[in-house]
Amino acid sequence: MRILGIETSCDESAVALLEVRDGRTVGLEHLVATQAIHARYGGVVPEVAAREHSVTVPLLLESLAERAVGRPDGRALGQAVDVVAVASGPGLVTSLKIGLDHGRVLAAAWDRPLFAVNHIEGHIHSNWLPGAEMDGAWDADGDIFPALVLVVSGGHTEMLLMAGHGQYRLLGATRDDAAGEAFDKTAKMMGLGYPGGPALARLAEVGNPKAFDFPRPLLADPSRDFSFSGLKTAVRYFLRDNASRSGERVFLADVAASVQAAIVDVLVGKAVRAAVESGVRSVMLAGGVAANAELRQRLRERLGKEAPGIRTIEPPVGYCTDNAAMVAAAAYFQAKSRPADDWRMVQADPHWEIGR
Amino acid sequence: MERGKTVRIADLDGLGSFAAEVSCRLRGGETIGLVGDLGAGKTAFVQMLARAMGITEAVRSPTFTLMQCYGVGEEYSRRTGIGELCHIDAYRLETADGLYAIGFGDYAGRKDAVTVIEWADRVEPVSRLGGYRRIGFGFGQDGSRILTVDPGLL
Ligand SMILES: Nc1ncnc2c1ncn2[C@@H]1O[C@H](COP(=O)(O)OP(=O)(O)OP(=O)(O)O)[C@@H](O)[C@H]1O
Ligand SMILES: [Mg+2]
Repeated sequence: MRILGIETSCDESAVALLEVRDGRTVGLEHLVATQAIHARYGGVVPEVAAREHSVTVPLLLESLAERAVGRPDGRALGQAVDVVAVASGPGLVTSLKIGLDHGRVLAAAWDRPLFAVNHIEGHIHSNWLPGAEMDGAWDADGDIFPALVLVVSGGHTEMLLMAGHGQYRLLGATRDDAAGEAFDKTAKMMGLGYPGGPALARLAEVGNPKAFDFPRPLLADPSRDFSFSGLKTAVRYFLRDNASRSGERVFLADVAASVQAAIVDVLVGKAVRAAVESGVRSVMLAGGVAANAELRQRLRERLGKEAPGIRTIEPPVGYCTDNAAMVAAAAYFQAKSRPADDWRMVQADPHWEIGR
Repeated sequence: MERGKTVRIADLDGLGSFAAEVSCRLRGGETIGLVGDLGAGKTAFVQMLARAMGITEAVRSPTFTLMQCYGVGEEYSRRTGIGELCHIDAYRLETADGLYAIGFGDYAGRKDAVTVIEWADRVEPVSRLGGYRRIGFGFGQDGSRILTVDPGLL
């Protein structure tokens, strides 16, 4: 099956052509354009984001055609595509609509089935892409279910019980800030810019994670929910009370490592407990924060020690942030199990939540 | 420029009582601007306000979603004529235009809705709207918060 994926949920425009045959990836072209203006300000300008998507997506599709069929020919690209997949939510409605409209028009013009895919379900399916353990087992992955999925990104922090593809039940979610938001906002308070999550993680590599004891909100709480706003406030007070050291590189590295340890401790502690209690066969990471090396390592260690029968499944680092390959991957399983969406009817859903 | 009444909020219980009082003053059509630094308690306030308005859904930080709207409880709605609470976060927005691009215009000034905007100072012209009220959030010495509240909310 050859699937065209389109992703425009936020400020990343991406297209991909994924080919899965005999249960493994035999071809993947992926193109992504990050909107420079947002990187500069760290913020988002919704109307600019949408305008950029509408300029960028056709250009990306043209480049994709060049790579896939050797020339910038839309009709030839259409002949190399069996299924059109597009992320239709959650995200910024104006941005989602641009990707969705491209998808529906191509599906209609090429007369191909269209699948409107949930963006989070896409992130989960980055676990089947090249470089991931599940690549090669697209059609023989039954032994990992039920799986506990820990979705961690700038906008999401939740645990889903995944009985199989398309079958999700929400176990718990953050009550306030997302884990990625906690990384980004504490980084901002430390003067690392915004969004500074990756910069904080880099700084943490040279710091001592036990230097300072930050709170682990809800870690001991039996619920499956998370909370990170209290950690943010604790870091704020700590920085205020140690303002005289704010120029010391070693001090900042220790703070970064200690903050990261607090966030990772909570994520891993709660995921491992929920996994054991729910009797799952694997724990799967998904979302931008899944790229965090400390999170991966600690999850493997804890599961290895406390529940060695439960597998850890990690997405390839390169496909943790928003991308179109994951959208195509999710559509692969949908195309096998449900009728296509009607291109005339399908709509963007900025607040689409799976598992509720 | 700080104006309005100053209130010291000792803890989350205090924040809850304050939010309950605010919920009693609302008539619909208000745009409440929340201004204060990271971790000052803007989202915590909206969570308490939502509870006081009979909203049962979980209210989370809208920094990434930018906007989230909730239907208020039946009893509160009957009493006030307000049907919806719209929660916006301007932390990632660069301009007031962005506010309208995410759909603020659908709610602004509507008599059957109340809009709350975190980081309202980032989308400044919004304060010139009719029905705008501001709550400033500052840090006290001991973990308390010092709120500066526009008249009409207290
Ligand atoms: N008196 C108080 N008033 C408000 N919040 C308090 C108080 N005491 C403690 N807190 C805690 O402070 C934190 C405030 O975080 P919150 O996310 O609400 O801040 P915010 O202003 O929305 O930050 P951001 O700028 O990131 O949106 C919460 O964890 C809350 O429980
Ligand atoms: Mg907030």
